Amino acid sequence: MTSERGSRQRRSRRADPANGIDVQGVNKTLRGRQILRDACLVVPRGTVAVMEGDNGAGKTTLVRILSTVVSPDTGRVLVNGYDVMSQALQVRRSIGVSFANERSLYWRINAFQNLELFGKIAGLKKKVIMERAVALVDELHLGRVATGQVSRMSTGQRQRLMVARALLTDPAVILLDEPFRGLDEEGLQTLLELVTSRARAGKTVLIVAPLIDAVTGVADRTYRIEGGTVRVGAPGSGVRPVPELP
Amino acid sequence: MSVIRIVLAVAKKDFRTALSYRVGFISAIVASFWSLIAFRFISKLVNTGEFAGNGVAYFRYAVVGLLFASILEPAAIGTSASARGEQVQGTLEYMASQPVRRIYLGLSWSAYGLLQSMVLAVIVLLLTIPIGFSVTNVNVPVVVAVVVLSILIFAAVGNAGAALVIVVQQGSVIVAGALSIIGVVSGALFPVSELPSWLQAVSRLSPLTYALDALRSATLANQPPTSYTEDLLVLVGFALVSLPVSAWVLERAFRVAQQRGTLSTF
Repeated sequence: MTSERGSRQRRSRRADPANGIDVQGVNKTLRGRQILRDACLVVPRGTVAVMEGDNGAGKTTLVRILSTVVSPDTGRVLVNGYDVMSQALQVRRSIGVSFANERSLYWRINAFQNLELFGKIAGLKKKVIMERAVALVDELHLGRVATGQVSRMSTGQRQRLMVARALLTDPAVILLDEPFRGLDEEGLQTLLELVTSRARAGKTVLIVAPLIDAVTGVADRTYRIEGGTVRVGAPGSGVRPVPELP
Repeated sequence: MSVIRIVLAVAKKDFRTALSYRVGFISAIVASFWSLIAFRFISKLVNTGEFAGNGVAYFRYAVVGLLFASILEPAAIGTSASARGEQVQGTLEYMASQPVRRIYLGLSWSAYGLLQSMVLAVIVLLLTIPIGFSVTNVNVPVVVAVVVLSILIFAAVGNAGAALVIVVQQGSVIVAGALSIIGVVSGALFPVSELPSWLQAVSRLSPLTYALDALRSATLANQPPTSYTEDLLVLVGFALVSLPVSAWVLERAFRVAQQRGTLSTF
Protein backbone atom coordinates (compact mmCIF):
# COMPACT_ATOMS: atom_id res chain seq x y z
CA MET A 1 0.00 0.00 0.00
CA THR A 2 2.77 2.39 1.03
CA SER A 3 4.84 1.50 -2.00
CA GLU A 4 1.82 2.04 -4.26
CA ARG A 5 1.28 5.51 -2.75
CA GLY A 6 4.97 6.27 -3.17
CA SER A 7 4.85 5.20 -6.78
CA ARG A 8 1.80 7.42 -7.42
CA GLN A 9 3.56 10.37 -5.78
CA ARG A 10 6.63 9.81 -7.95
CA ARG A 11 4.45 9.73 -11.05
CA SER A 12 2.72 13.00 -10.15
CA ARG A 13 5.89 14.79 -8.95
CA ARG A 14 6.53 17.84 -11.04
CA ALA A 15 9.75 19.65 -11.85
CA ASP A 16 9.93 23.44 -11.57
CA PRO A 17 7.21 24.56 -13.99
CA ALA A 18 8.73 28.02 -14.56
CA ASN A 19 9.47 26.80 -18.06
CA GLY A 20 6.50 25.55 -20.03
CA ILE A 21 8.86 23.61 -22.28
CA ASP A 22 12.29 22.34 -21.27
CA VAL A 23 14.13 20.12 -23.76
CA GLN A 24 17.69 19.04 -22.96
CA GLY A 25 20.02 16.97 -25.16
CA VAL A 26 17.37 15.14 -27.15
CA ASN A 27 18.36 12.74 -29.90
CA LYS A 28 15.94 10.89 -32.14
CA THR A 29 16.61 8.54 -35.01
CA LEU A 30 13.74 7.39 -37.22
CA ARG A 31 14.06 4.77 -39.96
CA GLY A 32 17.85 4.95 -39.76
CA ARG A 33 18.07 8.74 -40.08
CA GLN A 34 18.99 10.97 -37.16
CA ILE A 35 16.24 13.58 -37.01
CA LEU A 36 17.17 15.38 -33.77
CA ARG A 37 20.75 15.87 -32.67
CA ASP A 38 21.37 17.02 -29.08
CA ALA A 39 18.36 19.32 -29.37
CA CYS A 40 17.84 21.83 -26.56
CA LEU A 41 14.94 24.25 -26.21
CA VAL A 42 13.61 26.25 -23.28
CA VAL A 43 10.38 28.22 -23.50
CA PRO A 44 9.46 30.08 -20.31
CA ARG A 45 5.86 30.25 -19.16
CA GLY A 46 3.92 33.18 -20.60
CA THR A 47 5.95 33.50 -23.78
CA VAL A 48 5.40 32.89 -27.47
CA ALA A 49 8.27 31.00 -29.08
CA VAL A 50 8.50 30.57 -32.81
CA MET A 51 10.68 27.92 -34.43
CA GLU A 52 11.49 27.87 -38.11
CA GLY A 53 13.32 25.32 -40.14
CA ASP A 54 13.45 23.77 -43.56
CA ASN A 55 11.42 20.71 -44.49
CA GLY A 56 12.82 17.66 -42.73
CA ALA A 57 14.82 19.74 -40.23
CA GLY A 58 13.11 18.03 -37.28
CA LYS A 59 10.43 20.58 -36.31
CA THR A 60 7.48 18.23 -36.46
CA THR A 61 9.37 15.44 -34.70
CA LEU A 62 10.09 17.82 -31.83
CA VAL A 63 6.40 18.79 -31.57
CA ARG A 64 5.46 15.11 -31.62
CA ILE A 65 7.91 14.39 -28.81
CA LEU A 66 6.44 17.28 -26.79
CA SER A 67 2.98 15.78 -27.45
CA THR A 68 4.07 12.28 -26.26
CA VAL A 69 3.25 10.61 -29.58
CA VAL A 70 6.93 10.06 -30.40
CA SER A 71 9.46 9.01 -27.74
CA PRO A 72 12.94 10.56 -27.55
CA ASP A 73 15.86 8.10 -27.80
CA THR A 74 17.93 10.04 -25.27
CA GLY A 75 17.67 13.32 -23.40
CA ARG A 76 15.11 14.89 -21.10
CA VAL A 77 11.87 16.56 -22.13
CA LEU A 78 9.66 18.38 -19.64
CA VAL A 79 6.34 19.93 -20.56
CA ASN A 80 4.65 22.04 -17.89
CA GLY A 81 7.13 20.46 -15.47
CA TYR A 82 6.18 16.88 -16.37
CA ASP A 83 8.45 14.33 -18.04
CA VAL A 84 7.12 13.10 -21.41
CA MET A 85 8.33 9.56 -20.75
CA SER A 86 7.39 8.87 -17.14
CA GLN A 87 4.47 11.33 -16.78
CA ALA A 88 2.94 11.17 -20.25
CA LEU A 89 -0.67 11.38 -19.04
CA GLN A 90 0.05 14.57 -17.06
CA VAL A 91 1.83 16.01 -20.11
CA ARG A 92 -1.18 15.23 -22.29
CA ARG A 93 -3.44 16.94 -19.73
CA SER A 94 -1.21 20.04 -19.94
CA ILE A 95 -1.07 20.51 -23.70
CA GLY A 96 -3.24 21.65 -26.55
CA VAL A 97 -1.76 20.61 -29.86
CA SER A 98 -2.47 21.25 -33.51
CA PHE A 99 -0.54 18.90 -35.78
CA ALA A 100 0.14 19.81 -39.40
CA ASN A 101 -2.53 17.35 -40.50
CA GLU A 102 -6.05 18.51 -41.30
CA ARG A 103 -7.07 14.85 -41.49
CA SER A 104 -6.77 14.74 -37.70
CA LEU A 105 -10.30 16.18 -37.61
CA TYR A 106 -13.37 14.02 -38.11
CA TRP A 107 -14.64 15.20 -41.49
CA ARG A 108 -18.12 13.62 -41.48
CA ILE A 109 -19.29 15.61 -38.44
CA ASN A 110 -19.34 19.36 -37.91
CA ALA A 111 -16.99 21.73 -36.08
CA PHE A 112 -19.04 21.90 -32.88
CA GLN A 113 -19.34 18.11 -32.81
CA ASN A 114 -15.56 17.78 -33.21
CA LEU A 115 -15.02 20.19 -30.34
CA GLU A 116 -17.63 18.42 -28.22
CA LEU A 117 -15.90 15.07 -28.75
CA PHE A 118 -12.45 16.26 -27.73
CA GLY A 119 -13.83 18.35 -24.87
CA LYS A 120 -15.58 15.30 -23.44
CA ILE A 121 -12.49 13.14 -23.89
CA ALA A 122 -10.55 15.77 -21.93
CA GLY A 123 -13.16 15.60 -19.16
CA LEU A 124 -14.84 18.99 -19.64
CA LYS A 125 -18.50 19.40 -18.77
CA LYS A 126 -20.89 19.85 -21.70
CA LYS A 127 -21.83 23.40 -20.62
CA VAL A 128 -18.17 24.44 -20.45
CA ILE A 129 -17.47 22.82 -23.82
CA MET A 130 -20.31 24.65 -25.50
CA GLU A 131 -19.39 28.02 -23.95
CA ARG A 132 -15.75 27.69 -25.01
CA ALA A 133 -16.61 26.24 -28.41
CA VAL A 134 -18.96 29.12 -29.22
CA ALA A 135 -16.35 31.67 -28.08
CA LEU A 136 -13.52 30.04 -30.08
CA VAL A 137 -15.62 29.61 -33.20
CA ASP A 138 -16.53 33.28 -32.92
CA GLU A 139 -12.93 34.41 -32.28
CA LEU A 140 -11.67 32.40 -35.24
CA HIS A 141 -14.48 33.55 -37.54
CA LEU A 142 -15.81 30.04 -38.15
CA GLY A 143 -19.44 30.74 -37.28
CA ARG A 144 -20.65 30.59 -40.88
CA VAL A 145 -19.32 27.07 -41.46
CA ALA A 146 -19.31 25.57 -37.95
CA THR A 147 -22.58 23.65 -38.31
CA GLY A 148 -21.70 22.04 -41.65
CA GLN A 149 -19.54 18.96 -42.10
CA VAL A 150 -15.80 19.56 -41.74
CA SER A 151 -15.42 17.99 -45.20
CA ARG A 152 -17.10 21.08 -46.67
CA MET A 153 -14.67 23.52 -45.04
CA SER A 154 -11.71 25.08 -46.81
CA THR A 155 -8.16 24.22 -45.76
CA GLY A 156 -7.82 27.53 -43.93
CA GLN A 157 -11.08 26.97 -42.05
CA ARG A 158 -10.00 23.48 -41.02
CA GLN A 159 -6.69 24.93 -39.89
CA ARG A 160 -8.50 27.40 -37.65
CA LEU A 161 -10.72 24.63 -36.31
CA MET A 162 -7.63 22.62 -35.35
CA VAL A 163 -6.34 25.63 -33.44
CA ALA A 164 -9.73 26.01 -31.74
CA ARG A 165 -9.52 22.35 -30.72
CA ALA A 166 -6.03 22.89 -29.31
CA LEU A 167 -7.26 25.81 -27.20
CA LEU A 168 -10.52 24.22 -26.05
CA THR A 169 -9.18 22.83 -22.77
CA ASP A 170 -7.40 26.10 -21.92
CA PRO A 171 -4.09 24.21 -21.79
CA ALA A 172 -0.94 25.43 -20.02
CA VAL A 173 1.18 24.68 -23.10
CA ILE A 174 0.01 25.29 -26.67
CA LEU A 175 1.86 23.53 -29.50
CA LEU A 176 1.03 24.64 -33.05
CA ASP A 177 2.70 22.84 -35.94
CA GLU A 178 2.43 24.87 -39.14
CA PRO A 179 -0.80 26.61 -38.08
CA PHE A 180 -0.70 29.13 -40.94
CA ARG A 181 -1.33 26.71 -43.80
CA GLY A 182 -4.06 27.99 -46.07
CA LEU A 183 -4.74 31.09 -43.98
CA ASP A 184 -5.42 34.43 -45.62
CA GLU A 185 -4.09 37.68 -44.12
CA GLU A 186 -7.14 38.14 -41.90
CA GLY A 187 -6.98 34.55 -40.68
CA LEU A 188 -3.29 34.93 -39.90
CA GLN A 189 -3.85 38.10 -37.86
CA THR A 190 -6.76 36.52 -35.99
CA LEU A 191 -4.66 33.53 -35.09
CA LEU A 192 -1.71 35.62 -33.97
CA GLU A 193 -3.91 37.80 -31.75
CA LEU A 194 -5.39 34.68 -30.23
CA VAL A 195 -2.07 33.03 -29.33
CA THR A 196 -0.63 36.32 -28.07
CA SER A 197 -3.57 36.77 -25.73
CA ARG A 198 -3.07 33.24 -24.41
CA ALA A 199 0.62 33.92 -23.75
CA ARG A 200 -0.26 37.12 -21.90
CA ALA A 201 -2.56 35.00 -19.76
CA GLY A 202 0.46 32.93 -18.68
CA LYS A 203 0.33 30.13 -21.22
CA THR A 204 3.36 28.83 -23.07
CA VAL A 205 3.04 28.88 -26.86
CA LEU A 206 5.33 27.16 -29.35
CA ILE A 207 4.67 27.82 -33.02
CA VAL A 208 6.53 25.76 -35.58
CA ALA A 209 6.56 26.76 -39.23
CA PRO A 210 8.88 26.62 -42.26
CA LEU A 211 9.08 30.44 -42.55
CA ILE A 212 8.40 32.79 -39.68
CA ASP A 213 8.70 36.24 -41.23
CA ALA A 214 5.00 36.86 -40.86
CA VAL A 215 4.88 35.91 -37.20
CA THR A 216 8.10 37.24 -35.71
CA GLY A 217 6.18 40.32 -34.58
CA VAL A 218 4.47 38.31 -31.87
CA ALA A 219 7.42 36.11 -30.93
CA ASP A 220 9.11 36.59 -27.58
CA ARG A 221 11.76 34.07 -28.62
CA THR A 222 12.68 32.72 -32.01
CA TYR A 223 14.60 29.60 -32.88
CA ARG A 224 15.85 27.94 -36.00
CA ILE A 225 16.24 24.19 -36.28
CA GLU A 226 18.90 22.92 -38.69
CA GLY A 227 19.81 19.30 -39.14
CA GLY A 228 18.03 18.42 -35.94
CA THR A 229 19.84 20.99 -33.82
CA VAL A 230 18.04 24.00 -32.36
CA ARG A 231 19.72 27.42 -32.67
CA VAL A 232 18.65 30.69 -31.14
CA GLY A 233 17.34 33.35 -33.52
CA ALA A 234 16.32 33.03 -37.12
CA PRO A 235 18.89 34.54 -39.45
CA GLY A 236 17.66 36.97 -42.07
CA SER A 237 14.13 37.10 -40.79
CA GLY A 238 14.19 40.43 -39.01
CA VAL A 239 13.99 38.76 -35.66
CA ARG A 240 14.27 40.89 -32.59
CA PRO A 241 17.12 39.96 -30.19
CA VAL A 242 16.39 36.87 -28.21
CA PRO A 243 17.94 35.67 -24.97
CA GLU A 244 20.56 32.96 -25.10
CA LEU A 245 19.61 29.47 -24.19
CA PRO A 246 20.44 28.71 -20.58
CA MET B 1 -16.23 7.25 -14.53
CA SER B 2 -13.91 8.54 -17.21
CA VAL B 3 -13.96 5.28 -19.20
CA ILE B 4 -17.74 5.49 -19.62
CA ARG B 5 -17.54 9.19 -20.52
CA ILE B 6 -14.96 8.51 -23.22
CA VAL B 7 -16.69 5.43 -24.59
CA LEU B 8 -19.99 7.31 -24.88
CA ALA B 9 -18.34 10.36 -26.47
CA VAL B 10 -16.65 8.26 -29.15
CA ALA B 11 -19.82 6.20 -29.68
CA LYS B 12 -21.78 9.42 -30.20
CA LYS B 13 -19.23 10.58 -32.75
CA ASP B 14 -19.44 7.23 -34.55
CA PHE B 15 -23.25 7.38 -34.47
CA ARG B 16 -23.19 10.84 -36.03
CA THR B 17 -20.74 9.61 -38.65
CA ALA B 18 -22.95 6.58 -39.37
CA LEU B 19 -25.97 8.88 -39.76
CA SER B 20 -24.11 10.69 -42.52
CA TYR B 21 -24.11 7.38 -44.42
CA ARG B 22 -27.84 6.71 -44.27
CA VAL B 23 -28.25 3.30 -45.90
CA GLY B 24 -25.74 1.41 -43.72
CA PHE B 25 -28.07 0.39 -40.87
CA ILE B 26 -30.94 -0.78 -43.08
CA SER B 27 -28.65 -2.82 -45.32
CA ALA B 28 -27.14 -4.47 -42.21
CA ILE B 29 -30.64 -5.57 -41.07
CA VAL B 30 -31.48 -6.93 -44.52
CA ALA B 31 -28.16 -8.85 -44.76
CA SER B 32 -28.51 -10.37 -41.28
CA PHE B 33 -32.17 -11.36 -41.79
CA TRP B 34 -31.41 -12.81 -45.21
CA SER B 35 -28.72 -15.14 -43.82
CA LEU B 36 -31.21 -16.39 -41.20
CA ILE B 37 -33.80 -17.08 -43.90
CA ALA B 38 -31.18 -19.26 -45.57
CA PHE B 39 -30.75 -21.16 -42.31
CA ARG B 40 -34.53 -21.61 -42.06
CA PHE B 41 -34.38 -23.60 -45.30
CA ILE B 42 -31.19 -25.42 -44.30
CA SER B 43 -32.91 -26.46 -41.04
CA LYS B 44 -35.39 -28.50 -43.10
CA LEU B 45 -32.50 -30.67 -44.25
CA VAL B 46 -31.04 -31.22 -40.78
CA ASN B 47 -32.18 -34.57 -39.47
CA THR B 48 -29.41 -35.81 -37.22
CA GLY B 49 -28.40 -36.01 -33.56
CA GLU B 50 -30.42 -33.88 -31.19
CA PHE B 51 -32.26 -32.29 -34.12
CA ALA B 52 -33.51 -35.54 -35.67
CA GLY B 53 -37.11 -35.06 -36.81
CA ASN B 54 -37.17 -31.45 -35.56
CA GLY B 55 -35.77 -28.99 -38.08
CA VAL B 56 -37.26 -26.01 -36.23
CA ALA B 57 -35.10 -26.90 -33.20
CA TYR B 58 -32.01 -26.54 -35.37
CA PHE B 59 -33.26 -23.20 -36.71
CA ARG B 60 -33.65 -21.86 -33.14
CA TYR B 61 -30.21 -23.22 -32.29
CA ALA B 62 -28.67 -21.46 -35.31
CA VAL B 63 -30.51 -18.17 -34.67
CA VAL B 64 -29.10 -17.93 -31.14
CA GLY B 65 -25.59 -18.80 -32.36
CA LEU B 66 -25.60 -16.43 -35.33
CA LEU B 67 -27.15 -13.46 -33.57
CA PHE B 68 -24.86 -13.86 -30.57
CA ALA B 69 -21.84 -14.03 -32.88
CA SER B 70 -23.10 -10.93 -34.68
CA ILE B 71 -23.12 -9.06 -31.35
CA LEU B 72 -19.60 -10.17 -30.46
CA GLU B 73 -18.14 -9.48 -33.88
CA PRO B 74 -17.99 -5.67 -33.47
CA ALA B 75 -16.27 -6.11 -30.10
CA ALA B 76 -13.51 -8.21 -31.64
CA ILE B 77 -13.16 -7.23 -35.27
CA GLY B 78 -14.70 -3.76 -34.88
CA THR B 79 -11.98 -2.61 -32.50
CA SER B 80 -9.11 -3.41 -34.83
CA ALA B 81 -11.08 -2.14 -37.83
CA SER B 82 -11.71 1.14 -36.04
CA ALA B 83 -8.06 1.43 -35.06
CA ARG B 84 -7.14 0.89 -38.69
CA GLY B 85 -9.77 3.42 -39.75
CA GLU B 86 -8.33 6.04 -37.37
CA GLN B 87 -4.86 5.21 -38.70
CA VAL B 88 -5.80 5.59 -42.37
CA GLN B 89 -8.05 8.60 -41.76
CA GLY B 90 -5.25 10.39 -39.88
CA THR B 91 -6.91 10.76 -36.47
CA LEU B 92 -5.00 8.05 -34.59
CA GLU B 93 -2.01 10.22 -33.73
CA TYR B 94 -4.22 13.01 -32.44
CA MET B 95 -6.25 10.55 -30.36
CA ALA B 96 -2.98 9.26 -28.90
CA SER B 97 -2.15 12.80 -27.76
CA GLN B 98 -5.35 13.02 -25.72
CA PRO B 99 -5.33 12.80 -21.91
CA VAL B 100 -6.77 9.29 -21.66
CA ARG B 101 -5.47 5.82 -20.98
CA ARG B 102 -4.99 3.89 -24.19
CA ILE B 103 -7.22 1.01 -23.04
CA TYR B 104 -10.10 3.51 -22.88
CA LEU B 105 -9.47 4.34 -26.52
CA GLY B 106 -9.47 0.63 -27.35
CA LEU B 107 -12.77 0.09 -25.57
CA SER B 108 -14.32 3.17 -27.17
CA TRP B 109 -13.48 2.00 -30.69
CA SER B 110 -15.98 -0.87 -30.50
CA ALA B 111 -18.73 0.90 -28.54
CA TYR B 112 -20.92 2.17 -31.36
CA GLY B 113 -20.57 -1.06 -33.36
CA LEU B 114 -21.65 -3.01 -30.29
CA LEU B 115 -24.68 -0.84 -29.60
CA GLN B 116 -25.69 -0.98 -33.25
CA SER B 117 -25.29 -4.76 -33.42
CA MET B 118 -27.41 -5.24 -30.27
CA VAL B 119 -30.23 -3.11 -31.66
CA LEU B 120 -29.92 -4.92 -34.96
CA ALA B 121 -29.97 -8.34 -33.24
CA VAL B 122 -33.20 -7.49 -31.42
CA ILE B 123 -34.85 -6.32 -34.65
CA VAL B 124 -33.73 -9.41 -36.56
CA LEU B 125 -34.81 -11.64 -33.66
CA LEU B 126 -38.32 -10.18 -33.85
CA LEU B 127 -38.34 -10.69 -37.62
CA THR B 128 -37.47 -14.39 -37.19
CA ILE B 129 -40.50 -15.14 -34.98
CA PRO B 130 -42.94 -15.46 -37.92
CA ILE B 131 -40.57 -17.92 -39.61
CA GLY B 132 -40.22 -20.28 -36.65
CA PHE B 133 -38.10 -18.79 -33.85
CA SER B 134 -39.38 -18.97 -30.28
CA VAL B 135 -37.96 -19.12 -26.75
CA THR B 136 -39.16 -20.77 -23.57
CA ASN B 137 -38.85 -19.30 -20.05
CA VAL B 138 -35.91 -17.03 -20.80
CA ASN B 139 -33.62 -16.52 -17.80
CA VAL B 140 -32.96 -12.81 -18.34
CA PRO B 141 -30.26 -12.29 -15.64
CA VAL B 142 -28.22 -15.16 -17.09
CA VAL B 143 -28.62 -13.85 -20.64
CA VAL B 144 -27.48 -10.37 -19.52
CA ALA B 145 -24.52 -11.82 -17.59
CA VAL B 146 -23.42 -13.96 -20.54
CA VAL B 147 -23.70 -11.07 -23.00
CA VAL B 148 -21.80 -8.63 -20.75
CA LEU B 149 -19.03 -11.09 -19.91
CA SER B 150 -18.68 -12.18 -23.53
CA ILE B 151 -18.48 -8.57 -24.72
CA LEU B 152 -15.69 -7.89 -22.21
CA ILE B 153 -13.77 -11.00 -23.32
CA PHE B 154 -14.14 -10.27 -27.02
CA ALA B 155 -13.33 -6.59 -26.47
CA ALA B 156 -10.04 -7.86 -25.06
CA VAL B 157 -9.52 -9.87 -28.25
CA GLY B 158 -10.34 -6.70 -30.18
CA ASN B 159 -7.80 -4.69 -28.19
CA ALA B 160 -5.13 -7.26 -29.05
CA GLY B 161 -6.12 -6.85 -32.71
CA ALA B 162 -5.92 -3.06 -32.38
CA ALA B 163 -2.45 -3.47 -30.88
CA LEU B 164 -1.42 -5.39 -34.01
CA VAL B 165 -2.83 -2.62 -36.20
CA ILE B 166 -0.88 0.01 -34.29
CA VAL B 167 2.39 -1.90 -34.56
CA VAL B 168 2.21 -3.53 -38.01
CA GLN B 169 -0.73 -1.66 -39.64
CA GLN B 170 -2.64 -4.92 -40.04
CA GLY B 171 -4.77 -6.93 -37.63
CA SER B 172 -8.43 -7.06 -38.64
CA VAL B 173 -7.88 -9.99 -41.00
CA ILE B 174 -6.04 -11.96 -38.32
CA VAL B 175 -8.76 -11.28 -35.75
CA ALA B 176 -11.49 -12.15 -38.28
CA GLY B 177 -9.72 -15.44 -39.06
CA ALA B 178 -9.35 -16.26 -35.36
CA LEU B 179 -13.00 -15.42 -34.75
CA SER B 180 -14.08 -17.68 -37.61
CA ILE B 181 -12.13 -20.59 -36.11
CA ILE B 182 -13.53 -19.85 -32.65
CA GLY B 183 -17.06 -19.82 -34.12
CA VAL B 184 -16.64 -23.24 -35.71
CA VAL B 185 -15.09 -24.98 -32.70
CA SER B 186 -17.45 -23.35 -30.20
CA GLY B 187 -20.71 -24.56 -31.65
CA ALA B 188 -22.13 -21.38 -33.12
CA LEU B 189 -23.89 -23.28 -35.93
CA PHE B 190 -23.81 -26.91 -34.82
CA PRO B 191 -23.32 -28.79 -31.55
CA VAL B 192 -19.75 -29.31 -30.36
CA SER B 193 -20.64 -33.00 -29.96
CA GLU B 194 -20.62 -33.30 -33.77
CA LEU B 195 -16.92 -32.32 -33.91
CA PRO B 196 -14.02 -34.81 -33.88
CA SER B 197 -12.83 -35.51 -30.35
CA TRP B 198 -9.62 -33.47 -30.70
CA LEU B 199 -11.60 -30.42 -31.83
CA GLN B 200 -13.98 -30.94 -28.94
CA ALA B 201 -10.95 -30.66 -26.67
CA VAL B 202 -9.97 -27.42 -28.44
CA SER B 203 -13.50 -26.09 -28.01
CA ARG B 204 -13.06 -26.23 -24.21
CA LEU B 205 -10.38 -23.53 -24.59
CA SER B 206 -12.78 -21.14 -26.27
CA PRO B 207 -14.86 -18.77 -24.11
CA LEU B 208 -17.55 -18.77 -26.80
CA THR B 209 -18.25 -22.46 -26.06
CA TYR B 210 -19.24 -21.64 -22.48
CA ALA B 211 -21.11 -18.49 -23.51
CA LEU B 212 -23.21 -20.36 -26.11
CA ASP B 213 -23.88 -23.26 -23.74
CA ALA B 214 -25.17 -20.88 -21.09
CA LEU B 215 -27.10 -18.76 -23.54
CA ARG B 216 -28.89 -21.67 -25.18
CA SER B 217 -29.67 -23.22 -21.82
CA ALA B 218 -31.11 -19.88 -20.67
CA THR B 219 -33.22 -19.28 -23.77
CA LEU B 220 -34.12 -22.62 -25.36
CA ALA B 221 -33.72 -25.44 -22.88
CA ASN B 222 -35.48 -24.20 -19.73
CA GLN B 223 -32.60 -25.38 -17.50
CA PRO B 224 -32.38 -24.80 -13.71
CA PRO B 225 -30.09 -21.90 -12.64
CA THR B 226 -27.47 -24.27 -11.20
CA SER B 227 -26.70 -25.55 -14.69
CA TYR B 228 -25.27 -22.17 -15.71
CA THR B 229 -22.94 -21.70 -12.74
CA GLU B 230 -19.89 -23.44 -14.19
CA ASP B 231 -20.20 -21.67 -17.56
CA LEU B 232 -20.56 -18.26 -15.89
CA LEU B 233 -17.58 -18.87 -13.58
CA VAL B 234 -15.40 -19.82 -16.56
CA LEU B 235 -16.50 -16.66 -18.39
CA VAL B 236 -15.69 -14.52 -15.33
CA GLY B 237 -12.23 -16.13 -15.26
CA PHE B 238 -11.64 -15.42 -18.96
CA ALA B 239 -12.74 -11.78 -18.49
CA LEU B 240 -10.57 -11.23 -15.41
CA VAL B 241 -7.47 -12.47 -17.24
CA SER B 242 -8.04 -11.20 -20.77
CA LEU B 243 -8.95 -7.56 -20.08
CA PRO B 244 -5.84 -6.58 -18.05
CA VAL B 245 -3.61 -8.51 -20.47
CA SER B 246 -5.14 -6.73 -23.47
CA ALA B 247 -4.77 -3.34 -21.74
CA TRP B 248 -1.07 -4.05 -21.21
CA VAL B 249 -0.62 -5.26 -24.80
CA LEU B 250 -2.34 -2.16 -26.21
CA GLU B 251 -0.24 0.17 -24.08
CA ARG B 252 2.92 -1.65 -25.20
CA ALA B 253 1.83 -1.34 -28.84
CA PHE B 254 1.44 2.43 -28.48
CA ARG B 255 4.88 2.63 -26.87
CA VAL B 256 6.46 0.66 -29.72
CA ALA B 257 4.78 2.94 -32.29
CA GLN B 258 5.93 6.02 -30.34
CA GLN B 259 9.48 4.72 -30.31
CA ARG B 260 9.37 4.01 -34.06
CA GLY B 261 7.47 7.23 -34.79
CA THR B 262 4.83 5.34 -36.75
CA LEU B 263 1.59 6.51 -35.13
CA SER B 264 0.92 8.77 -38.10
CA THR B 265 1.90 6.26 -40.80
CA PHE B 266 -0.31 3.67 -42.46
